[in-house]
Amino acid sequence: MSTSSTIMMIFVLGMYSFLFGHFIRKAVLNKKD
Amino acid sequence: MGFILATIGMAIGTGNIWRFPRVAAANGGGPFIIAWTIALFVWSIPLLMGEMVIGRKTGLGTIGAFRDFAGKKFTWMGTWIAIVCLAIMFYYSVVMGWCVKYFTLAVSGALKPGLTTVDTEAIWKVFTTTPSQTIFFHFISMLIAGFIIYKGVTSGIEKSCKIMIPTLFVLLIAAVIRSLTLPGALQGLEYLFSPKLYMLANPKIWLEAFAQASWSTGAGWGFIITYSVYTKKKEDIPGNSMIMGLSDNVGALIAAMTVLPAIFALSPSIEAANQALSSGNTGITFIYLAQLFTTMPAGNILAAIFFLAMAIAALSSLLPMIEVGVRNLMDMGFNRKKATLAIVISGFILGVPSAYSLNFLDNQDWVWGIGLLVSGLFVAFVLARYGLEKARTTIINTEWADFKVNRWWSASIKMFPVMFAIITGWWIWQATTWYPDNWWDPFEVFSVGTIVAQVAIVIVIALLTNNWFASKVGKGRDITMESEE
Repeated sequence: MSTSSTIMMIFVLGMYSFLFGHFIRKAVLNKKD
Repeated sequence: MGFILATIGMAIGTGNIWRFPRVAAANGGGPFIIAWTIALFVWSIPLLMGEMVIGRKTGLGTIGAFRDFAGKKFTWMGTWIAIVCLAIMFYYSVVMGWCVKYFTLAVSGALKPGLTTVDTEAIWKVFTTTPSQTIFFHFISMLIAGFIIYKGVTSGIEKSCKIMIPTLFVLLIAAVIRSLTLPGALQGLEYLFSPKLYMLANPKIWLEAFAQASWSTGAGWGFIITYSVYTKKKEDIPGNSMIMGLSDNVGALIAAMTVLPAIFALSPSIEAANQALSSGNTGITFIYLAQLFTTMPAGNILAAIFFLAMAIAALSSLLPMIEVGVRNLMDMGFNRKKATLAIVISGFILGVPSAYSLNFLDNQDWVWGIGLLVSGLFVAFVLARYGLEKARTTIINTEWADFKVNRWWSASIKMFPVMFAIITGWWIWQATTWYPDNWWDPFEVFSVGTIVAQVAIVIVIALLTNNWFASKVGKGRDITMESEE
């Protein structure tokens, strides 16, 4: 894989993991409250 | 959590697995992902929030929701959304049946090593031209989905999604790991994530990205209006909408990271890989991938995992389609059991033509794909009529919201008619080029004429029944104003 594609992949997967993880975590915490 | 998992199940369907990888690859990979991510935030998520507003403000299925939210004379728009959703349900059950069938083929060892694409194409053709088979698997799909809906929202939909959605993600992750460990798999990732940012200047990429986002997330289908009926007062509209939209995209990315590396690793040449990618949704899935799985060690296991994941994704999206019909009937006084039986039996009967003929199914998919865009337009219209700032500040931005939505939501909904006109206009224009001489013919599978004819029939039915439905649907409830208990 080229460097530019690797960077793009890390950026896309990182962004989606962060956002999805953030909102799922919040939802779980809200239900616990 | 049950509600969130049900909405994730709603969002992740077969389109994530068989359409996204193919369309992303055909549109440059990286630039498509960028445009599709932007579409998520300016089209899908705002519309999902808007549907939650309508559902929670009225506590009714789509027909009653439009009556109470926009006024009696707009009831027909809710009827339109219900009819479009049910029209899709009729053939979607057939599609789920295909996935179940291929899962059984993988488990039984019928997809054995040594098969060529000529063989898998023959298997596909024999299956789809044997009505007893396609109708049987359509029946099985309706039976499973009907049983879950019959059990109710908590014991049926939510309970089943608590099992199905984690299972789906485990299966997808297992499939992606197996796919990425194949020799040559990185070529598929290169294809998917290649930045090629200059391609963002190509309008076609944006149009394809917005079309994928609008069809895939379930925004504008009436699902969330319906599911919102079962929410409590303390509900986080922005957070839940983000989860729904993001889960759809995450599911699609995982699927693409399975499908594209598998195709590139297992195809004998780049040309063969490109041929697979240009073979359409069913071609790539049931002919090419079914064959490619047979060329790898323990390929049956990956095939079984893949087709089971597709069947689960299809089932978790079929459930809200049925529930849209069931909820509307319940609003008219039916109990859940009778409403479920009515929708499932009529769904089975009206799905038979799609099980019988691939051309009929393709035609319905084409017509109601455009119909869904119109449904989204109706949602945006009634929100604008209600007052976007009022909805945003009083219904979305409550104290239970994880974050406060600013004016991007109102701006996105305001821009919706423009985005709708561009995307729908582009598809219609494309269709005229497919049939330059008879684009107006209502009996051509993908013509403009068939859209106009069928859309006109449904709109006339919806308009003629406007007052009747408005009087038949019972009283709703404003969930946002209920006591907290």
